[in-house]
Amino acid sequence: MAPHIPLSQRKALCGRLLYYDAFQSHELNLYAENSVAEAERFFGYFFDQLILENQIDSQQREKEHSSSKPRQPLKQLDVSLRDALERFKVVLPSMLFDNAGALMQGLLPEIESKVADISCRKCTPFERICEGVSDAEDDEIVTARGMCVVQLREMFDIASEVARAYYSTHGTLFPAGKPPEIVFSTVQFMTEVGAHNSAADRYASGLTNYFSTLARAQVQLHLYVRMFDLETYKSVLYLLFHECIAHAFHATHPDPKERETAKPYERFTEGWMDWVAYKILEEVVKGTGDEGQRWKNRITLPNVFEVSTTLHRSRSEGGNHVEGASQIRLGVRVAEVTFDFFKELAQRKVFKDVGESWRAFLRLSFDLNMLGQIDAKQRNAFVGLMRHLEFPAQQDEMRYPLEALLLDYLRTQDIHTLVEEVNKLAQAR
Amino acid sequence: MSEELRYKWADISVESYERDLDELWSELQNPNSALSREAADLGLNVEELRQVERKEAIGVRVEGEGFGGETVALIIALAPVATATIKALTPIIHDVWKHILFPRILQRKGGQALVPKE
Repeated sequence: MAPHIPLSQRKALCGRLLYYDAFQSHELNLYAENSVAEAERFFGYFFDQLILENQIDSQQREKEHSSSKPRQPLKQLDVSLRDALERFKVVLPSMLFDNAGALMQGLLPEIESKVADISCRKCTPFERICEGVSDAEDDEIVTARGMCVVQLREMFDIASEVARAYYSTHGTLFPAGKPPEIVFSTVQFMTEVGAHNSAADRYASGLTNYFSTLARAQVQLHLYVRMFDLETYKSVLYLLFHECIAHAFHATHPDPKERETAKPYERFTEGWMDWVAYKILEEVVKGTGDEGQRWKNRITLPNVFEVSTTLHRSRSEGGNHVEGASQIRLGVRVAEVTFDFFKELAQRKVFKDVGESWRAFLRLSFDLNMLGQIDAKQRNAFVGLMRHLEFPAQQDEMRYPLEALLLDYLRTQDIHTLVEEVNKLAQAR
Repeated sequence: MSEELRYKWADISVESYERDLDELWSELQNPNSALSREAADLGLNVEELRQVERKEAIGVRVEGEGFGGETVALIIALAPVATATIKALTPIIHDVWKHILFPRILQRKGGQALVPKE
């Protein structure tokens, strides 16, 4: 079980997810009929009704606090959604739309149908349903099933399955017998999400926490529910790929209980590994590579990769006020340069093709990430030294010794020795 | 040994944090509550905390003056009472704060409610 956005805010989140799913089904028609702007105005009225449901809950809580009464059950989620929808339908005729037909005959029945499908009673595997009295009790239901956030959970499931599959295939340090657990959590932000993935005007971010008591990574999806929009929705898969690939198995070898949450300015985890996560996302969305095609059909939102590309690029742009943007940029650049070097090795027939170069690069990235005996400073130093691969040997005297170390590593696959030797080389500079 | 954790002032009253902590502590007192199940799932033995008052285990206060988060800090004091019993329970109080109560406060008040002050 992991914490999730409390019931009251989850109502608004669920309503928004349902609306955007309905919008996606009719997007082409809406574009064809020049009605996208009207659809935005249309959903604005629906979202206002969801906010009203949230205010009703808040007023109940305020009354309970002021009279020192314990928390009482809130209106259940499915009832709130239906009430919001009914009020929305009452106000709709008074709104002036140029193309009311596309909205009333296309979008509205789709939303009605999706809202009707939500049933708290059918969702819960227990005798009880979510009622906002004990957040922990509600979390047990959301963790077990949580139909109200099923779209987000499905994206988490894809991201965690992909991370597990890629790490177990390519990482030599991956504990195949008993891999660390990855659990999904959602956290609400009342204002702008202030973390490093909130660049590019997205109202979401991610964070991975570890436990000192057990081998578990808790992937948190941070959402500013009131501003959660379609672009943010389409960014969630990339955010979860970043968390699952860059962080979930970070420092798991040899003891997954002794891990520290990464800082936003770490060039290896936030830069290099973010680039790896982004490239794996590309394989999965496009269904390319050795394993990518396994998940392609489960990604139903359109333009996910394009939207993710904008977010990925914005993370390393200083203008977006991302903490440690220059460090992230360096990490991304060095990952690209290192992979370019591996591709060059395919031309030199060290590898039989670029596919083998990619697999070797993944092995290096995953093993370096999983290695718990080195700290962030050493990983960052590793990235700093790998930067010398950017320059030809005539211009950079570090290039040859570095190449020799990498070739030794590719032969032995011994990440410990590589890290040790790279450190020595860095100190000898 | 007691420990004080400093967080940025998030314009939320101390009373509000206290109220949330009291409610959560009360849930932990019930061995059949979902919060107690969560603690057990995380490998935390909270049995001994059931004889301890919340304020003996975790205190909340504000330090500093002013209007902004720069000069004001919210202090979460773990094991603030210097009795032998509380001292012995400090490691579990620390873990319960970190893995159970801290995330639950963020859940209720939002992710920016307790941002560590560096």
